[in-house]
Amino acid sequence: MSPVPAPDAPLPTGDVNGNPRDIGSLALLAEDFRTYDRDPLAAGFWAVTVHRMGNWRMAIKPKWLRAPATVAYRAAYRGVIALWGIDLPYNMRIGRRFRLGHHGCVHIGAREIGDDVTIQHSVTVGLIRHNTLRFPTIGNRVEIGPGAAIVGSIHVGDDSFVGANTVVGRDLLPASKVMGIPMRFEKP
Amino acid sequence: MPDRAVSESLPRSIDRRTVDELSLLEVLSEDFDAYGRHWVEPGLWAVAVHRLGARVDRAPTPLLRGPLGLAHKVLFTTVDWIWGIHLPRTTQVGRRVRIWHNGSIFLNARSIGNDVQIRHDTTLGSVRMKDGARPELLPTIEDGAEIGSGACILGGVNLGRGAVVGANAVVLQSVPAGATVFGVPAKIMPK
Repeated sequence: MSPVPAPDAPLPTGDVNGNPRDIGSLALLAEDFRTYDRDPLAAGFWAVTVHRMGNWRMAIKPKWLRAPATVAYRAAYRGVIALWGIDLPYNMRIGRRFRLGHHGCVHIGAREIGDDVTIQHSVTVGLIRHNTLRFPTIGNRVEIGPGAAIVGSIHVGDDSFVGANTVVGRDLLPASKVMGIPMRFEKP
Repeated sequence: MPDRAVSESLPRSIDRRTVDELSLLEVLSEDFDAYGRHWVEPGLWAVAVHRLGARVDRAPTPLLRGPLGLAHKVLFTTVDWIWGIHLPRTTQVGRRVRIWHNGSIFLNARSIGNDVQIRHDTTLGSVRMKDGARPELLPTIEDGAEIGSGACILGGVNLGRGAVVGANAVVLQSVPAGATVFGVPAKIMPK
């Protein structure tokens, strides 16, 4: 993962293919499928695939050539929100082997999400106040329990664990284990 | 086992048959009554699909198991995707369990007792993703418990008879019978 961006830095504009660069497109799709235990009925697999598709299409540079893919992506993005309630915008960087445990009320607006991250249902990652750009970043191998909210320009360090229904509003060092409202640190 | 005419006149306290001792039709009609005879309740459909799934392995002939299992899978996925109620057939569900409302309900428990009330956004399951669905790491909900909306009951804990879990509480330790718990992580409230 790249260094943590400044809190008010502009968001990624989404004009480039933001998929992980160290793996080919089909290999990435196959890896995502394996991450979801090869279950074609896993809603999270389709949500992540639509996210990857939104990025793949940006590799096509001429806008008129990209237009059909853009229409298909937007329809699929809205479809995933309507059917499963999973909101994963494409201009957020997501690392490899990203896993959504279940579906329903998942709204994720981060600047960047690392590799091997697991997020459960009803999780919110996003802003405290609207009209700001203070989105969180999430490190590698982080696990977020159901109902948690991760808000503000914070960085969740590698290998952290956020318990169920926890509200995280401050930076977490690597390998933190947090839980509760207000949040407190647990022994690792 | 009492015959049908007797069993229908038995009050709840005397009718101690488990859900497996009832026929599919009996258990479905009891569920229908438990949902106030509203056939459009999402929770009723989720429970009805579960009743079918729980009986697949006890089908009269092995030939029926394939088609019944497939039918259950289709119906289960439909309920899961449309209403967000995930009640896998590996969970043991007692009689007259009522799921109120729908959305983000994941009930991966060891067992759920009779007359349990469950609300929307409830999560029953293991604490860490890597624990998966190992039965000893899943919660047990005893008879008559009541679970508030947004509550999570995680790990191999036991929720005692008639216990009440407040909204958005996170239960990580066993709760004695009749207690009320609240908060993240959940604490027992004084009576």
